[in-house]
Amino acid sequence: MPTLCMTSAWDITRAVAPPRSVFVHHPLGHQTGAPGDAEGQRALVRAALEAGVAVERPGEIAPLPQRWPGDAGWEKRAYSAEHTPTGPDGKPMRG
Amino acid sequence: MGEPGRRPEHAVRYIDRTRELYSRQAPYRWVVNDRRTDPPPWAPITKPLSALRVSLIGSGGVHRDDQDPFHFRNDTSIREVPLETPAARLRVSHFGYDVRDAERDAGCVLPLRAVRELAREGVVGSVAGPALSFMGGIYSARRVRDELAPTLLDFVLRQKADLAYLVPA
Repeated sequence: MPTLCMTSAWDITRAVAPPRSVFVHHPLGHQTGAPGDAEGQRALVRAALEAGVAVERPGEIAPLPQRWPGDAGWEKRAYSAEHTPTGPDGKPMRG
Repeated sequence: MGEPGRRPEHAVRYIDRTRELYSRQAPYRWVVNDRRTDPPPWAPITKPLSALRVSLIGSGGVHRDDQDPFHFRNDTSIREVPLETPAARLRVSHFGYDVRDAERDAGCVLPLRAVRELAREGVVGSVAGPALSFMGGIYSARRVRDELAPTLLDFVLRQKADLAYLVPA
């Protein structure tokens, strides 16, 4: 069965090496777009499917040009030790 | 063989960051497949997108309001989410990412409306219903391989799909 994976975690996908992937530089939790942006979601899904179908080399991760339309600071905060508070159990808090 | 292409410069290094963030816990064992000795399994796509039948699979923990939520961890169950499910009836249960925007609009992680519209426009040949949804916070690679993946494949084959389209959160 042919598969196409989307990803916003390039390094994790590289490690797993699925047959065909497309990478979108979005924060986790927003793989197919921003909330309430139906037009953007449709455009992104279309771009992902078109790019995915065009992959010819097994293991390729095709990058899409879309950028996150919201706050640019997300890149610095994502899973950052500096920006992630610790919960009462001593573990990093998600979200 | 099996090379991913150049890493985008701006791509967040999640493995490095989580290793640092969870440095007080035992190191997480990421799945690593050696592309040289275990190359990616390849099934060619033999039709244009406009003729493809696509199955949508999401791991963001989306489900309908009349379906049980996912367990908070290592839940390998699946929810069948009809493609026409109104947005107001979608819920999210997942511990592994900030779900606030997905709760406002599940289309962020399970693009039901987008795939419906693309099929209607003829961009995609057809989309199989229902969409398949699961909760991707499963720490056991063995359980994913032996329990979840075969169940998903069985569904996709019964849907007579040409392509399984997997969307993470």
